[in-house]
Amino acid sequence: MSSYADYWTQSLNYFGDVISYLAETYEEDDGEAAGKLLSDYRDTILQNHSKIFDDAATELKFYMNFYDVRPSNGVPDELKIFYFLGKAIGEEFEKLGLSNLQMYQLKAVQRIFNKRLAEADVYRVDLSKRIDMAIEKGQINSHFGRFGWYIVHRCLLNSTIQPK
Amino acid sequence: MEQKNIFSTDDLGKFAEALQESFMKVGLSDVLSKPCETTNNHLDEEFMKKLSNGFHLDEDKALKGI
Repeated sequence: MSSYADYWTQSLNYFGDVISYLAETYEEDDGEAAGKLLSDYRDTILQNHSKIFDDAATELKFYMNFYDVRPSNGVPDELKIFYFLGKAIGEEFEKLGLSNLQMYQLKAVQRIFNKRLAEADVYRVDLSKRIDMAIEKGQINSHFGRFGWYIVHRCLLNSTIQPK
Repeated sequence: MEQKNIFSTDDLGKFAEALQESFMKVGLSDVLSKPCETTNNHLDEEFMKKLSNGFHLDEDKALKGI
């Protein structure tokens, strides 16, 4: 049995896995660049996790209050973990000047979103490619705003749920 | 590709404490302690369990290279 906190902390390992996977897939070298990205990811999280959690919790609280979101049984959905935690990590990388790592971090969020949508048979390849394009061009925030990236994926998942 | 689990159990324990503090500051600490033992809630536990088994690294042709 896991608690909600377990899922948040374990997600830090999942992000690291995907960053490494994507870097090894797309960086054209012998794995040195991928190793450096993963090492920078680990060091930054170890040194700055309190700030990252503060930022993620503040944004999650704002979202829940502003949109009056009250999850059933008091447990917010998994997409919120990856979105609010993932974005807070990405913003920390940006502040530290680690722009390439920020790009991989945001792509890791998108890959996990893709996998979740694929599980529910609502994965949209063109949408995913366009979001990846926005990430690569550093435009994800200007194109999707504060919560749009999360909301569009939540809506796709909600489309699979039969209304009561 | 195998999972790397770059953070140790000790690291995750420290993260959990920091996370608790962050959620407490914004009045959400009660959420963190809730057990997710059934699928009868908003969080899809089956998906999270799959991730713990490396699902996020599985090759998936449906993703078409993404």
